[in-house]
Amino acid sequence: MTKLSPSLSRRSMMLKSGAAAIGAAVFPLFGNATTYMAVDEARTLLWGDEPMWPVEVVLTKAQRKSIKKASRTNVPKWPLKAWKTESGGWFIVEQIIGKHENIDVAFAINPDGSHKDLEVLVYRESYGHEVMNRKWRNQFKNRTHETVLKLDKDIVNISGATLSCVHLMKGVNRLLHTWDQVLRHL
Amino acid sequence: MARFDDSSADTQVQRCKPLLGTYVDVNLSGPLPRAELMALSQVAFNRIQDIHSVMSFHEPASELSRLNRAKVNDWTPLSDDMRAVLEFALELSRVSAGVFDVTVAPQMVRLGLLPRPEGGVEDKANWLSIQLGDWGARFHESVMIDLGGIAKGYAVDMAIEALRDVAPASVRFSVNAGGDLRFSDPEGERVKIRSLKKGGGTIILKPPFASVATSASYFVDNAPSAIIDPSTAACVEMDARSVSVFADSCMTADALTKIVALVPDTEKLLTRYNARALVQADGREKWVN
Repeated sequence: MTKLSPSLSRRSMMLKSGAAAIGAAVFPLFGNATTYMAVDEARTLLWGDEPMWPVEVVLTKAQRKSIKKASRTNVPKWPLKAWKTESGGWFIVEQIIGKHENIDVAFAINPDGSHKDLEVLVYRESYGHEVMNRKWRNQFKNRTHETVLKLDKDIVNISGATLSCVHLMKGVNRLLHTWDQVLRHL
Repeated sequence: MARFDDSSADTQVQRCKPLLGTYVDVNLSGPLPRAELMALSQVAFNRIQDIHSVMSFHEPASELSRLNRAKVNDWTPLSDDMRAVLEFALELSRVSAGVFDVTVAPQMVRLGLLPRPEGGVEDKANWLSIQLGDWGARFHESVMIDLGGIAKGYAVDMAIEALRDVAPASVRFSVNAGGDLRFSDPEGERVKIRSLKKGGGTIILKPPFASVATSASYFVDNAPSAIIDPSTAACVEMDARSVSVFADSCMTADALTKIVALVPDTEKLLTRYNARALVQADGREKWVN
């Protein structure tokens, strides 16, 4: 763990207490946030009771560059939160940052490196034009991750323009290339 | 589920997966264990996955892509799903005099809203070039179909039907495919629609019908909206407009948003399909029908 400033470490504490919050350094502004499920539940849905153990995966600069080239997607610097299953598959929890959304996702990769399935854990919407608006931004001042989550908890039926899932699909592609270049050798 | 009269004995499950090019949200609540509601949600996702693989423009192996590659005048057999959507699409083209048209794909490719398929695009034809018959579908001229304006609504309807077949009557559910949503029962539900007024905010409504769909361009920064006017082949300027249509079927709601976006005063058509529209434009909200 790198040394954090007092305010930052407090923030990371708050994030840790939230459901499946990953990447403590990223703290976007939320329009709507929906918590779908916890990491454990996703793990059961994706891998049943198959045993798995955590594997530390820190990509080198060269690996990141090579995966970026193959997947045509930026590769985050933070370490992968990854577990290897008994059958040789993978369970990975990642944060996907799109233009209008920031979501925590659990991915399952088959032992042969193909995409098995995924579950969205937490979905946070952040929209550019509102982030720019100071008044809108101020309503979230001094609110923690969890209070913002509660804010919209009881209204989930939102009808709005279609939001593309392209960033999530790019994330799938990036992880499959990460498997191809790194995970398969671990 | 977003019920304000909180029935606390119920378990709630909400699950989200990327399908149909957007985020699909399935929501169930009822007096069942969480694992059982999870299993029920899978029935909805499986049905949507099937429709996704039939109607994807992006996947070369989809039924739609095969249909788009068909030779002029050759019959192509259709699945029941494809036939249902094409029949309704052509009916809407007819009653809207071509305002709704599933053959605007070439314009969307040109604007960069859809990927360029192998073999390029031709765009002389329109919906009148599509013929449906016992043998399937055939084109009198080379046509390229995109079902982006109707397939999500259809998939939501089918997922709701699939859930109705398997879920006990005590379970309430809703399916939301990127803003095209339908409830098992709209009674007691609330729908939130993004307000276009400065500073964001939302409009909260009791849905008059089981389904609602919205078209607007606020997620497409500096990009054209995905609604093409068939008469001019240009994308519709939707900078400050949002159209929500309420109807019983989500496919109807989904498709009608495109017509209302192009022709805002379409009361006759809305009446015909027993639908209502909420149009937000120039900082005002207006109900049509």
